[in-house]
Amino acid sequence: MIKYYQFIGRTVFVKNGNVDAAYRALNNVLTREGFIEDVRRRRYFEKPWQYRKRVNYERMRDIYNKEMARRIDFTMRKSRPNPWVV
Amino acid sequence: MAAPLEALLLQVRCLSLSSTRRLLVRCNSALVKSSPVNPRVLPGQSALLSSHVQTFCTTTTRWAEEAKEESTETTEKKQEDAEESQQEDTSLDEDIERRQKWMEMYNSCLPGYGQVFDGIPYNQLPVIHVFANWNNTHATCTDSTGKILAQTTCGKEGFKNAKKATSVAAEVTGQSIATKALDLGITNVRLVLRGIGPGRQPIVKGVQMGGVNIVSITDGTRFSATGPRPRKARRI
Repeated sequence: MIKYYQFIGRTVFVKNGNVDAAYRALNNVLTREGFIEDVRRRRYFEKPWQYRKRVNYERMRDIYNKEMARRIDFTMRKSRPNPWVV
Repeated sequence: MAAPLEALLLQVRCLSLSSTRRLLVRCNSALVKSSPVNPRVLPGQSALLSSHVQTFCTTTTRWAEEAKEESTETTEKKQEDAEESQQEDTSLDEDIERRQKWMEMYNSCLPGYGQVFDGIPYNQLPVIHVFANWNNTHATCTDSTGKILAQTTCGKEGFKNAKKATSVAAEVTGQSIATKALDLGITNVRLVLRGIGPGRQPIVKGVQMGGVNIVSITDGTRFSATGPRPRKARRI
């Protein structure tokens, strides 16, 4: 039972023999959580000043992107139905 | 008479309430048995100590009486408990049923519960552990308990130095471990990937090409945020 614990989390089952899809699903989940990026970053030590610089940059970048996306959606808004909907 | 009492009083401060009570009751009974003389009358005793001794005697006698009352109560309770225990047998069965239900509910949430692959349940399938390092890729085929059945690495397949850290080497290693597993009669296998290296994806493809049926892929990468500090950054 103890050996079973490592299979409780981060496990993806292979459906219909499609191993590539299963691997891709696992990878997507891990990247979306930021796990793989974290592991890669911890390969070498990141000094505190580098950490602060990166984290602040990421925060500002996310704020900027969200604001830009909001403005674009606003300017591109229409009241007619979308002609390209399938 | 005075010295042992003083020693007792000192000891009593260190013990808990119930144990002090028991000790004093025992001592009082022993003292009463040993000396019928009234402690008040003894010479060479301080007034404080004599007053302590008085309270000691009275309280301990009271405790002894209380203890006797309690002992009668406990015997009554034991009779009642004996009657109740006969009724409790049925509730024990209910307890067991309830616990079994909870265990089923818990186990059904675990991955692969109830799934059987060629007669082997999921949690008893053999495992292929893949360790994808930055410079090399290891593959180990083990039992469900962890006992190693077969093992190979990129280096063992003939690749040297930097060539071990390539996708081609990882694919070849995957095929090799798959053939070793098939020689042992293993067809269905769980895959555990550890580490992020160049051989992480190609080895999965290699195992599949080798002919072994992969049932599930697990990520077992070791991660510690507060663990040993990694080495310093390279300056190329």
